[in-house]
Amino acid sequence: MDQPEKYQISKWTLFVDSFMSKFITVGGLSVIAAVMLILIFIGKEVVPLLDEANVTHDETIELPKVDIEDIAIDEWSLLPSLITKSSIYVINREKENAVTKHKFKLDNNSLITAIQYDVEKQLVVLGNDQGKVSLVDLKYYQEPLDEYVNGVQQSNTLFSMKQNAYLELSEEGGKIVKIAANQSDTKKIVAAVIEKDGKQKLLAVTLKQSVDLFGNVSDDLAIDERLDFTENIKGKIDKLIISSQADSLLVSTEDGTIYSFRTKSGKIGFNNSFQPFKEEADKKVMSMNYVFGSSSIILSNSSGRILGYSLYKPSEDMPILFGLTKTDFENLEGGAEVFCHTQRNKTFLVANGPNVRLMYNTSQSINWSAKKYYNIKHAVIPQKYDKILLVDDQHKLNIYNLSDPHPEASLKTYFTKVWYEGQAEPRYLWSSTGGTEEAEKKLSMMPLIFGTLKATFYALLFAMPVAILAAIYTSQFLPPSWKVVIKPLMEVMASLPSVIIGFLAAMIFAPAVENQVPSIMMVVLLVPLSALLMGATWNNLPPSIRYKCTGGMEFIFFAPVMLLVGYVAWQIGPSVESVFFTVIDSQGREIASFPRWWSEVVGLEYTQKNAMVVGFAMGFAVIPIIFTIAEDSLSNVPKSLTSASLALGASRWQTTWRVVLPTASAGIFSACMIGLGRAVGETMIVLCAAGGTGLMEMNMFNGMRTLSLNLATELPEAAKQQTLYRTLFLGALILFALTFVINTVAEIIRQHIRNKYKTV
Amino acid sequence: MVKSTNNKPKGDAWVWVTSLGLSTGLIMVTCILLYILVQGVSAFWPKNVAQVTVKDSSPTSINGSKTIAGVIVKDQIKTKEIDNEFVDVNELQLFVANRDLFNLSFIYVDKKDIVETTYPKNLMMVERLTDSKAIIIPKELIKADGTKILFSDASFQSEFDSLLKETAKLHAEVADLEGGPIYDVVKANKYLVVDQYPYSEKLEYNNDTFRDFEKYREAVDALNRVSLGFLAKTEEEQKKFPQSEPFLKDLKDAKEKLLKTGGEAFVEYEKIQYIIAEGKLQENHLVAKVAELQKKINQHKLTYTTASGYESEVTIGNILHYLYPNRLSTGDKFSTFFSNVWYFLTEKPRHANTEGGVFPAIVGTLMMTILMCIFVTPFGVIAAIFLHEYAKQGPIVRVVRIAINNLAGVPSIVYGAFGLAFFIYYVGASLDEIFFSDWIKSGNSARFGAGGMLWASLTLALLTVPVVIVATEEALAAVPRGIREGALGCGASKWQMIRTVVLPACAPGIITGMILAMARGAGEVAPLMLVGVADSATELALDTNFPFGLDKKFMHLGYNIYHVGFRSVDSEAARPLVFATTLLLITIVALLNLSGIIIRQRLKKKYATGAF
Repeated sequence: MDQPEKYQISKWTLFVDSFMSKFITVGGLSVIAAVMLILIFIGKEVVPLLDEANVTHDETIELPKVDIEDIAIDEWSLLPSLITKSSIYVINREKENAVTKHKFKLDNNSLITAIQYDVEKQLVVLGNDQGKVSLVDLKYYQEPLDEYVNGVQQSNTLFSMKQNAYLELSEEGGKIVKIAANQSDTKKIVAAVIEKDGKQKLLAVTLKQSVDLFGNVSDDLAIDERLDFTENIKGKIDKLIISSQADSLLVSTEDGTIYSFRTKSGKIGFNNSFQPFKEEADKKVMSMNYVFGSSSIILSNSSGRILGYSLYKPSEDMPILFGLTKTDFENLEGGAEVFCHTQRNKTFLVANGPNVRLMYNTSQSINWSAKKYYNIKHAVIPQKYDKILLVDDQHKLNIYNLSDPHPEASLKTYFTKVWYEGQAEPRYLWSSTGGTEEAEKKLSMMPLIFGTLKATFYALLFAMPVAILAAIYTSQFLPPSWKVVIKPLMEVMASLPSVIIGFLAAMIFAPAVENQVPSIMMVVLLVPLSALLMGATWNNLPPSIRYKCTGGMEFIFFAPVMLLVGYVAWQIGPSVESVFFTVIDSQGREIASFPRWWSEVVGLEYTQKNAMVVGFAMGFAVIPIIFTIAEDSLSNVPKSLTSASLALGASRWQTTWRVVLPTASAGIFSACMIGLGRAVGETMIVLCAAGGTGLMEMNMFNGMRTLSLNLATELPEAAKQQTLYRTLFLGALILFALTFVINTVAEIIRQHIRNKYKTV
Repeated sequence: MVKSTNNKPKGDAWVWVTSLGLSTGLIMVTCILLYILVQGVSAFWPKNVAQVTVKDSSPTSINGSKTIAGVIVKDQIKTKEIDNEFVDVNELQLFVANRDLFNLSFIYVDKKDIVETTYPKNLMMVERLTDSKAIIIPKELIKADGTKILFSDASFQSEFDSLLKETAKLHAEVADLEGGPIYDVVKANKYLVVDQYPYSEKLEYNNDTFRDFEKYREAVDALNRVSLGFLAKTEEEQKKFPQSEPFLKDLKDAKEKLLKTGGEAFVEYEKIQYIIAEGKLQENHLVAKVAELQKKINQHKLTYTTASGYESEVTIGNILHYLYPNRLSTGDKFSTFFSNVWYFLTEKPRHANTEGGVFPAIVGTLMMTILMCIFVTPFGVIAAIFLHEYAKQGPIVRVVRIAINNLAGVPSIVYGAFGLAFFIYYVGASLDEIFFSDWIKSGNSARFGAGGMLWASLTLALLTVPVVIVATEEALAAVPRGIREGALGCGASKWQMIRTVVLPACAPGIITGMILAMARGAGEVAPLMLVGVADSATELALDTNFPFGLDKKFMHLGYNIYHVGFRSVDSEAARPLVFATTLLLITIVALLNLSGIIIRQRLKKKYATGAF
């Protein structure tokens, strides 16, 4: 039915109405979506941590048919070089794989009988059948060209090698069968096994720059010191390696014993020996190699078991020893026939036949594993950790692109105890900056989570009783005219910026109470006691006095008493200290000092910025939150219930205790949960007053490192999208999840209560 | 009425125990507020400077002198170990200033060792431009022409004041030059280099031109060094700069070749190069002018001794304010107090933020809060209207509501981390790549790809959007059903009903939410540390050119407290300043909060009656 025009709604009104409906729906939904995006985005930053390494085939190159001893590579992976017993064949990938041959110099028709290459130092060491050794430095370098392609300057990658003169390792000659060498900035060392007349000798020399007759230092090397380790070793020597710092030497024998030699006070000497596969059928060590940094070694036997040994001090008074720290590596069938460590991190590559794997030493996890269609004979990973080069038994070189941005990251490193290099036992540790490149990153989340919970615990220990008692009093006993003033006053506390609380706590409160712990104990003990006493006494006073304070004005009467008792308690603190907390110092005097008593008698750390300070300071942030919500839920208990109780003759306390509290208990619980959520995420207070050491101790008198503190201090400096950056986001995600779950539980309880009392 | 001793209400003792909670809370809040108030206010109050003479046997001395002048800051009792015995020592802490001479700011004096405490009238407290405060005894004024005026001369005071006035004028001139023409020229040249970049890129990464281009640039650089010979175009002019001859030849050669090979790109490049050179010339003139003024500023000197006997001097230009603390009457003290407050609020910080005022931090804090408010209010209100008026009430909306409520409880540092990853590293880096690629390639630091005002306020907006949503929803819910139905009954459409009836009714609620959000935002520091706060910024956060300083880092009152209180070299000496900042921040936040609370309570009352 058509309406007359004057009753029709104007088109414009309809249009605006439908437009606004759509606009608000879309706008509202997108705001909500944007807010929810936070979780997704933080998750997105974290997920790549758990990715495996990505390995893709790049190129396969036909190799010259020579007997390959090892394969060398430059940092740009452009000049793979084959090392044989007579020459180095350098393949230029930029020039259609052209091969150039660089011959080793020989010494008087001798034969090279032993050879070793170190990819980290680009060092080849040769040993011949006359007991002489020669060091060869390989050098790969780039020469810029006067040519631009798409704005990028082109360059040539070049190879050169410098062979030092042969030096007599053994003055009596003999054939070198095994050789190893390494160099650091200050040291050069060569060790070799020499066979003469059927007897084996283990000799080593340290080298120095030779000085000629005129006192000029030349580039050539001369022998500095000769060492003979033959006597330390029983059995036939099988393997020999030298650490990258050129300060220690490891030798394995046919019967599976490993002998470790280390520099002690400037001299290399025997350190310890151990038999890694003692309990197994196959005792012989099949492979023995250093991991990057030379603080750990990886051992394997032919049944495929892989073990990791690291240097550590078993106890303070013992020397540094190699000890078994890693036993959870997955077995590799046949043992680690091919081994190569990286020069970036603690990753190493092991291969046997067609099986190849990248493993990470610290977490003992497998970053990548594959089965190839060929048998792997040699492997090398360039310095940039961006390629894998595998040589097969068909004289082919297979080059793979490697992308493994987060080898350190695994759930194991984040959440379980890890035995780090140099530590006496497996531990939860956080230390993202190791000092040197070779140091292991210690990225356990546990000390941070623990620190967060510790700070929260001490905060709630103080805040919960105060806030709940205050809420009960305010809602049940305080006259309404006062409530209007008191409640906003308490809420002003919530609006104090936490940086101010943190500043006052760390700079004023912490130094002030550092030596006054007994006084604080007395205050905490005596003030509540005085409240009880006062209540009991007041109740027994004659009514004429009692009626002077009615209608919920107790707190005004109590505040001065509390201040007085607090003052007295503070003053008697030192006397308590001199009775209970005394220590005898080195001169035999008795000293009353709680901090010293705590550290010397109890044996726990005492620091100025500690959990007690943090707990108290956080009270300022948490009390008003718990107070407000708890007070609301207590006030919202239906009047009908309390009136009924009072009408039946119950006293105001009986009504509160029996009727109001049980009804509002869920609301109080949810208030505490929300307070907990606030304490968990508090940043500035802990940043100022918590010290920041990531210890796992519940000790009240030392500091902690919380997730939020960790984020605030380390995220600004963390390199974008590197492992540390993503790990910090994992911390943020945990923090987010923790508070979100806590708040959700609290909110659901609150809504539940609200619905419940709608009907009452 | 029967009075019986038995009619004691049961359990009233427990009421006293619960009063303990409230008393504790109230004492805590009053104590902290009073403490900050007292400390903050006393930071501005001029204090007398004591001159303390200690016994010769006392271990305390400054460079061997037993006379020490300083402000008494603390009177404390400390247990110390002296000769194997523990003794309670009553000691005074003196702020001795003159850190440049003494290498310390504070000294402790055992009260027992004090022979004499005087308050000499000739002690002068000086605030210096480039150093920390100094407590001095003036000796003589040495003017540029060599005339010396002794402190004891009658004309000293008037002469000193007029010199100070003169240098203050010169300082203002320098500031005008540096903030005006020099700043403009430097900035213009910076942008010109960016404009030039596309051409220089074309010339540099080109096999035909890069050699000549390199030569050309070297010649230009060399010519710029010799009195801007580059600008001399005619031979006559060139003759004025004989030392530039070899470079001119190089320039000519390179230019000829480049004109052939480089073509259009080189012509454009050179055009801009001329403008840059002209700018540089202008800059050099101005800088020379400033140097001249600086010389004038520093031509007069004041020699002085300290109470402990050090002799030193300070140029008049280095003195900002001075006063004789021990000569002040109560009235003088009040006027000094207010001028101190004024300086604190309006001056820039000096000496690594430990001296001077907090004006940039106030501007930064306010700018950020206002921007945040501009972002957060419309979005928060729209989301709330959607949730309350348009969305179909059901389990999904309930879940969304709970989630939003919970987001208010997510730690602020998590928002900071999100802001860093999303706004700065993702959005900002992309913006830089699209709009400012030449800017970055020509050697400047990231613009939106680094922390700044925009990202900080957006992050805080995200942080506070739940507050606004919750407050607005509450206000919407409080609008009585009758009013809505009345509006609809009169024939209003849904949007008309919301616009004309509901929104005006809940406007105070929305404003409350906005104010609460502002209060929360103004006090937040943790996320700012990740998304754009600066230790100290030379420029104000406000800028008249696009993008109006949005990409700049800014100073913030809250962060200033943390930075000066914990990170600065002489944080103890700067503590009064930190307390003053604290008081200021608390005042801002408390005012915002209180107004929010008051509006909320009025609103509640209004609708308590309106519900019938």
